[in-house]
Amino acid sequence: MNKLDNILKQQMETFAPDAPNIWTGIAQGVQANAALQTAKVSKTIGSKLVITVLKIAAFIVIPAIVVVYFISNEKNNIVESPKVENRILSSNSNTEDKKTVETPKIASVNIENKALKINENKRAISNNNSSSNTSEKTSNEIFTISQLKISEQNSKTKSEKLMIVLNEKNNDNLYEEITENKEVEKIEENETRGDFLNSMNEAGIRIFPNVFTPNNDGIDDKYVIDLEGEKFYNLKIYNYNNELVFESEDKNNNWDGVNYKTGQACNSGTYFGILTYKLPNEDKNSTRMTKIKLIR
Amino acid sequence: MSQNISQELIDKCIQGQAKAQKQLYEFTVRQMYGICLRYCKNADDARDTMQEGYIRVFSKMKQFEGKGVLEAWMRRIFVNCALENIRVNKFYTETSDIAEEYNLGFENLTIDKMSQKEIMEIFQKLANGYRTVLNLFAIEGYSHAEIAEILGISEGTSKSQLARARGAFLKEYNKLKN
Repeated sequence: MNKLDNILKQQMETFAPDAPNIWTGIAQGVQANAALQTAKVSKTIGSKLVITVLKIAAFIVIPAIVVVYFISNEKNNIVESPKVENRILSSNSNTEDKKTVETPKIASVNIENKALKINENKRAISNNNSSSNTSEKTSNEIFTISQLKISEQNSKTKSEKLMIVLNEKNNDNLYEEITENKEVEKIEENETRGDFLNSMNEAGIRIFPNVFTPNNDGIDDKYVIDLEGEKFYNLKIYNYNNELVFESEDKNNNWDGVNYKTGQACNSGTYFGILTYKLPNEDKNSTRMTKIKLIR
Repeated sequence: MSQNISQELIDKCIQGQAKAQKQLYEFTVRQMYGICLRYCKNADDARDTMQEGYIRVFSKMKQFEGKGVLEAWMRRIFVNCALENIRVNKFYTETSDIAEEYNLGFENLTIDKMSQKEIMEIFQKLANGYRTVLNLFAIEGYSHAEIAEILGISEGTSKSQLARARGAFLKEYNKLKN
């Protein structure tokens, strides 16, 4: 053993100088660390829950969508056939009176009955029309035909309305499906962004931005937290190895993506922001955290 | 220090009781600050290291489980904290080319007694790599194999660095005395 080593060991092993009081900092760090760990645990549990719920939801929703899709297709087919007929009818009725009287048979039962009633008159009308003789009888008959036309048109509009209603129903179903899908997407989005962001928003604090790009392009170059009227403010940003890369007690001093100890630019990746703050209407400090995605 | 730390206090600290943690902090803070000062370049770095060390101790205390002495366990954590902060590996690559001049002559220099203050004064003048290896080998009592593992260097590098560090220390001591 070297003599120097001996002296060093004897003197320095019990080296216990007066230490500065840093307990408040430690207590805060411990608190934040504990919160971070619970947040991590709850996050993993939460994400597992969300995934299982999503799986179950997918098993229910996907067959439901398939069934609804087929049903709606069938409905469309049913509705489409009278529509086509009606179109043929209307076009025919415009060109030839004769056919307008006959065609309602196909169109609807009511019209068919009426058409049967004036079936006998029909030929006379056509004869009269062809001979172009105007009498009271024919005029009456023409009137009935015009009435018939109107009723036919009504029935047509009715069927159209029915079709529209059915279509609307189908659309509603589709819309519901779409919104359901959107909700699922939203859940997934929240899951990937991290659950504790929401708690941040509940407290009335807007963290902006979650993703920030310190590449001096003028957009999201600094990590800005919007907090108003706070009594106490302390922001710490840790990397994934739990190394502090930024700390500030001044909310105007925003992180620009540089490790404040080494002065080196932090790599792209995920960072944890721990914000300790005290709002004017609160008695004690609150600690919140967020995940920050740094992209260069 | 040791007699003050009861198992009860440790259990309370593991449970996360702030009062117990503060008590433990008060019992140990001087020793731990000593460690931090020994490894760090200046008092500010030591302060930061100490804060990180305590946070790590309290958040990892469940892993202690009464294995060995709490003080030793804490020391190890603080040393690791300090080493992380000064990024030893980088400094070794920077200082490895320094000439062997330190080894010449100073080995025969006789030191009878040095105060803690003097040692600290010299320590703060030394390069990070030299200070670290002196701390680890002489004061902490790690073997070259252990140092090699801790710092991620070879055993040979550890030995040569220790020799140079001693030389550097003695040179600074010589400056101080004359």
